[in-house]
Amino acid sequence: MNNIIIERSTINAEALDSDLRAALGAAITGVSIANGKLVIHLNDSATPQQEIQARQIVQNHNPAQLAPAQQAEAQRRQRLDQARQESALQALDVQDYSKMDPAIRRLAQKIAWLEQEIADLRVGG
Amino acid sequence: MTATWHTPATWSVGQLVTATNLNEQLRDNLEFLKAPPTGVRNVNQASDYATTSTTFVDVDTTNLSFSINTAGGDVLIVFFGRVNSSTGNVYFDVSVDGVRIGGDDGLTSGPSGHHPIALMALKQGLSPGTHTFKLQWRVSAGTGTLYAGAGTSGLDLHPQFWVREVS
Repeated sequence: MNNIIIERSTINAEALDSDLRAALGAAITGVSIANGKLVIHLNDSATPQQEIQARQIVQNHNPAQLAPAQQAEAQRRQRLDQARQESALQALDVQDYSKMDPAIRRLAQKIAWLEQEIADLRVGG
Repeated sequence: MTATWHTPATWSVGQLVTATNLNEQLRDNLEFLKAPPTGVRNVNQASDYATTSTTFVDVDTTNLSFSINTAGGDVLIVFFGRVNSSTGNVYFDVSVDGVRIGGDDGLTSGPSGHHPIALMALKQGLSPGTHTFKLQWRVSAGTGTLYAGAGTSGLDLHPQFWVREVS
């Protein structure tokens, strides 16, 4: 294990890790933050050129830029928030299904019940 | 400062007991038992700890690492804290003189999300002398965070890591 310690605490660890792995492959095992310092963990097989490359990536690192996994998570949260808002505006009304097949009515009742249970769980009921 | 431990003597009938004998066998050994070799860290950092390392690395080589001078025997190791793992599992182990106690995936782990972590381990059969204990961790994916009293809202929590010779 070869650790590079850099005086920098404001980083997006996941994004920096993603950038370093994309550039250095198996030569890097990850990054850590401790005591206001950034630690880059390199394998013993890492070359001096790869160490220089790692330092350059840290120098150019923008903590505001999300890693692909963070972007996907942010989009997922956004879609969920939007679905919650839409659902809150128009809750399922089982009366809308009163003229439907009994199996459909039963399904609508179940969904309406689950909707209320989930809402109750979210407020800590 | 911890007193020096002296191997208990076997006394003979008629043996002259000197001041040195009493100081070593009674005073020093009782003082040793009252205050055995101990290392303790109460964490209060300016920023929380984080790692993306997929191999075990030291959490903090300064504040979650220490050396104690033991009389030889067993050492009790305790750590507790609150962690968050963004996507994968987070694993913890303790290295003693550079060798992890748990090996493999460590002593304990937790899944993705927020959860408390606590470990208590007995390192047995240490030789007399100075031994170094370090808390280590890794993740399977994503980022692991150990809250370190850094003022994070609702998570301004202070982990503790300590070791004490117990035999």
